Amino acid sequence: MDGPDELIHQSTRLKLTATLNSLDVGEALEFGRLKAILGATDGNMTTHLSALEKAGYIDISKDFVGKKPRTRIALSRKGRRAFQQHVAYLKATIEGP
Amino acid sequence: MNVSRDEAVEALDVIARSRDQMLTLRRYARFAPFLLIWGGIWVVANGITDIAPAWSDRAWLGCTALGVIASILLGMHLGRRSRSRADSAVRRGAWVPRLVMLGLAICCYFPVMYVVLGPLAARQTNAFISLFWAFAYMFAGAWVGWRLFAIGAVAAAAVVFGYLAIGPHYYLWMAACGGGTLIAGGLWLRKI
Repeated sequence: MDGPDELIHQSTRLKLTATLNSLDVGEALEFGRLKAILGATDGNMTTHLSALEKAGYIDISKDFVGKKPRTRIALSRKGRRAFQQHVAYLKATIEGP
Repeated sequence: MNVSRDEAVEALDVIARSRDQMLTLRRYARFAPFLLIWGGIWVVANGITDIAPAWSDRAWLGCTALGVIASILLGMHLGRRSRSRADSAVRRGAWVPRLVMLGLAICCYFPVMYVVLGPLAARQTNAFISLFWAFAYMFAGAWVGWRLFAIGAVAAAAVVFGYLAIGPHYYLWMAACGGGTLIAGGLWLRKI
């Protein structure tokens, strides 16, 4: 059994990855909606999203809807796998050796 | 980095709550267009009943037929989307018998209730059917989430207040406040 994923285990990032993991594979959530769900600030969100993107756990796509910029975030395949492994680790910790 | 047993329990609880929250928001998003459709129907049909009472029956018949067709098409569309999801446990066609049974129950309920209650005035009939749906939203809200329950409660309150306190323009009240509640509720359910 692998150890905990330190990047995911931080409380805001844990909520963030858990929320994104509830979506379908490849499905993305808009920045504003994700921010509202987590109750986070813009600055806080940017910091955590950067850390997860750097690790390859999330995919961030930017486009325009009309003239309005839109940022969408999805859990990558690597991120989904890392999240599931972290959940498995947590369950194993509770169940004990 | 070590995670204690208590920390692991807390983390799994955070994960479960995030998942539940997302599932509730998804259910709201699915329910929202139905409220928008039927809110629009309440506005149009009640509005016509108030402005041109002679057209009332035709307005309700036409609007209800449109609403039923739109709801079935929307339900089929949402069902297809659910089935296309990789993690969906929804079986192909599993909703069809449920919808048929639900439709049958609703189609039987109103005639049977009219038999039991006896002849009703037009205003009573309107309030009776509107209250049925308002309470149906409250029942559904007990499973879907509190927002839908609240929308049903506000709609029911609007019907009762309109029936008891609004004079000759009851239907106008129902168009504005009954239909308006459903439309505003539909927009609220779409918001996170």
